[in-house]
Amino acid sequence: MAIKIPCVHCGLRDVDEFRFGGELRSRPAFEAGKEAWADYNFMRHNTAGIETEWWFHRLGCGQWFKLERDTRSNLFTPAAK
Amino acid sequence: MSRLPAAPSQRIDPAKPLSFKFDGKSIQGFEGDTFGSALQAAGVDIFSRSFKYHRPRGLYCMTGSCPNCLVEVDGVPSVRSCNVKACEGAVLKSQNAWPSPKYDVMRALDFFSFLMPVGFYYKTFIRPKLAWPLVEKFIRRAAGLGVLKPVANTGHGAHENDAVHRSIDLAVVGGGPAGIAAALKAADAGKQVLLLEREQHLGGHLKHQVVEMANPLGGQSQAGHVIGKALAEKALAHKGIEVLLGTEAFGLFEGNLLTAGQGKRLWKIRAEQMVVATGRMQQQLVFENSDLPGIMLADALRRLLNTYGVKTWKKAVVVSSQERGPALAEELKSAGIEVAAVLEHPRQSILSAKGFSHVQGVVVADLDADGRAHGPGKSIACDLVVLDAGWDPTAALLGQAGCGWQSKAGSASLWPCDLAPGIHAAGHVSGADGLQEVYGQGAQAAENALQGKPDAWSVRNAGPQSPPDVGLRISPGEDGKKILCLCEDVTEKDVLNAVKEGYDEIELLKRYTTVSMGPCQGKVCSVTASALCSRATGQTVLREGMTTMRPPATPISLGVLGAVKHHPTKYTPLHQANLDAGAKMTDLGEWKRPLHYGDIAAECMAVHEAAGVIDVSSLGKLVVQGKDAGALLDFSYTHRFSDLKIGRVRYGLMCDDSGTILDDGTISRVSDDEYFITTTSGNVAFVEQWLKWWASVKFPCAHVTNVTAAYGAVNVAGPKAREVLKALGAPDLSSEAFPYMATQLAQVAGLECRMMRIGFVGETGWEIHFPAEAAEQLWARLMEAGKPHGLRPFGLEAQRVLRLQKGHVIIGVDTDGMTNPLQVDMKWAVKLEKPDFVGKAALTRSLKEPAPLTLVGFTVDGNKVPGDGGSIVEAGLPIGRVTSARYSPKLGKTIGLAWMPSAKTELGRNLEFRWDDLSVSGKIAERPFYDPEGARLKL
Repeated sequence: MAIKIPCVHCGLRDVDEFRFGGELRSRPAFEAGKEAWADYNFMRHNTAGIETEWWFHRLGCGQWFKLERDTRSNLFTPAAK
Repeated sequence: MSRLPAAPSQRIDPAKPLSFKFDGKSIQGFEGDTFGSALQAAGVDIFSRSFKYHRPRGLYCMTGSCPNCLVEVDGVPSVRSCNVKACEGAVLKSQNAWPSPKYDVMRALDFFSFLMPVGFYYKTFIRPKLAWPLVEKFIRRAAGLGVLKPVANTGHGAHENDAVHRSIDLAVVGGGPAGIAAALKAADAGKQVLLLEREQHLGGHLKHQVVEMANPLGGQSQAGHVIGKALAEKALAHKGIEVLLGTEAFGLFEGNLLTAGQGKRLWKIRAEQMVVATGRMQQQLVFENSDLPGIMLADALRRLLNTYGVKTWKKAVVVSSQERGPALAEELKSAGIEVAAVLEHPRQSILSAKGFSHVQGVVVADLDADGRAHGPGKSIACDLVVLDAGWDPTAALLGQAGCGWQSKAGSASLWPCDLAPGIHAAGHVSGADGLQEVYGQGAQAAENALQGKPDAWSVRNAGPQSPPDVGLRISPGEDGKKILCLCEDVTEKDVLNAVKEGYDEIELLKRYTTVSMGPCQGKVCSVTASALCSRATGQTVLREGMTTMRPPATPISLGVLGAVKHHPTKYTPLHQANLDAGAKMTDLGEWKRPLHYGDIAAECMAVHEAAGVIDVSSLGKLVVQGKDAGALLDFSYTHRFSDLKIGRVRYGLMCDDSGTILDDGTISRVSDDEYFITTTSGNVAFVEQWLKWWASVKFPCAHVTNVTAAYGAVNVAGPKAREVLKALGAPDLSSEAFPYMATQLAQVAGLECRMMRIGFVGETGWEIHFPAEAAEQLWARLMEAGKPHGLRPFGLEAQRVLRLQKGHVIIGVDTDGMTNPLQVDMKWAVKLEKPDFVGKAALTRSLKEPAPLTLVGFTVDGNKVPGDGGSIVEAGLPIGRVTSARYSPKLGKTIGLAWMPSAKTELGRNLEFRWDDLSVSGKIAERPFYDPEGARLKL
């Protein structure tokens, strides 16, 4: 990956400065069954299309933020908070 | 020597001769020569032997695009000698030939090629089984491209390579007329421009043109090289343009990241906009023996004649178009080369070339509309064949950036289209012809780039397209070797056979035949292979075009790519103090830490009997503040922290939601809404990010700050630790005033320190965190105060022994990516009764469904120490694995931790250890091995 990431605090920066935090998923309640937890822990959407993702600006503001990325083109739009 | 009289287009200086060696023979050349031009002038005709059949190869492209001129230069293999500047005293050696490229005994392979059909190594020598190992040795010796000599490892940072990162408004690749036009246009508009040129001079193809053409800068017509020089001077003089000469752009990645090699330097360039003006080269024309020395592209000949003044041929056959042919023939004649024939491509073509080590003649014929030859053809004697049959774009960078491919009327090639946003192609690469058009495209491309418009010159034509006509690239005729791929010796027949065998898709075909997979990366043969595949599979509509293009577009040395790899090293603020104390240092992740100070057993015993001090500055240190701080820690650690009293410390274990242990450390409550956390040495960045992530998801009023570098830390432990610290002015350290698992801000040696009474090593002790800048001062005072009490510094190895005695696990050493706390006997640190926390669901379940493996303690009979990672075997089969084992001088025996199947963990069970070739026995033993009640910690 050689893309630039639009950090919500620092602007467009090199991807090397970031840590990828995975796609946005909802964590099951404690009572949810084994399958729901296994799904949360081990499965990913791996969407070919627009995916909301977590990114962490390691070498910048040191903050997590969410972005929408089109996984086919690597084009970003900032996600709603 | 065969040189032309001096001429203004030449770049050699006859007043400055130089000499170098080629296979022991002395070669004379001039300042300004490349190794290739000097060798050719000296009459060297065979530069190398081909990869598979050891066929003779000579200069073909003169641009570093083909594999023919690869030689070893001063020990560096596979140097493209045609475009590397010659230098005095260099030692060149031929590759893949013995005893010399001129007389190579392996040439015999060429006559046994029927034994080596396409993909032969996939299907021959399979039976008997013994055949392959024998044959493999021979094949490895016979095939190849030079030998990389191992050099001594000189350690980090000792190599000469470096890397430069640059951000720029506009990067222009290619310093020909289109590139210069683009650079000038953008720089005039006030933009910062980086202009990359792979050769040593700007000007592109104009450099070796002697014909007159209209000057795009105005004025009368001039010779191409004069215009080239004028353009170059203008670009070099412009303040807004930074010119990088001798710089090969080899990668174009998303986000307009351009990578280029300049000598030993790697450039990583981020360009807002990019103009690719990489030009074109003459397409190959394949016929029988078309790879013989003396058969070359027209531009290669122009370079040799006009730029280097080299002329070693007498009689030429020219293949060119109706329009270009006569002018090209004139150029040859004015250089004193007799033109035996000018073939009008594609109406006429060459069927085959004759000659063993150099072309001696060709058979030519008229072709009909279907590309078939009329009659057997006519022989013409010649010692030079000049190919000018059409053009291929030099579009590898555009291909890497994901462009599409299309055909064009009147061309037998594939041209780039559908460029990514921010990338513009201009000039010959996008199909322009004639200097005016080329220059105009460059200027307009820059204009479009500045205005954020899409590329204008490589727009896809509407409607379906037909594949390029392979008949314009390969002459008719079934006989003989018609080699497409100069790098890998792939013939037309090989490709056709592969298609018959079912490899009828260009990507499969490439992998099976290795066509286009050599050093030139398909610059010569890719389009031919694609067009041939289209015809063989009966395609009438252009489908896949070209194979996927990947970096590097041109060969680049691994040293240049390795230039960006810097290995950060972290030193603790006590690093020098440790060295002064005689520490033997070791790498622990990025940290340098003392392994020991000379005597591990004495260090251990000092902690048990007097006092020891260890530098633990590398521990990760985080501050968590805010009214949600306690809730964040309750949620992200398995223990509870919101009820921790101010001034108390608690052990913290961190798991993920599958229950796997991530980290451990201590958590001190500093105030109502502030905690001080330590993490394992290598893991602080991860823990910081993990806590910050949960904070941003669920706990907006918790703030995490990494203070690792701000503090140094030591652990002072042992029965005399209290006295040592008292001597430094520490407050009341009695167990009543400062009990086990308490923490205080206190003055030690005049510094404000955070003291924590904890016991990783199993003796009464305090972990002391102090401002990093005062570390050496504190260390010196500590040593001085400790001397009468027998204080010794101890290293990691002693700490490993001491903690093992207590049965403490080290996360990542005794645990792995599958370990949950229940498996390592740490249920005490998991509060399943608290509300939801990370890992609760998984750990609750694993209480009911225990994991198959459990970590056990063991002792070993005798003094041998099983290696970490050694096996535990039962009935000859491995059933368990040792994670840590050490000899304990205090206990007088070897102790350790190991993974065992959960059903085989009863105390006293006999174990058999195997590692390397050694075998010892032992048994499962109770943990902790030392002071199980922990009484020593509370003294």
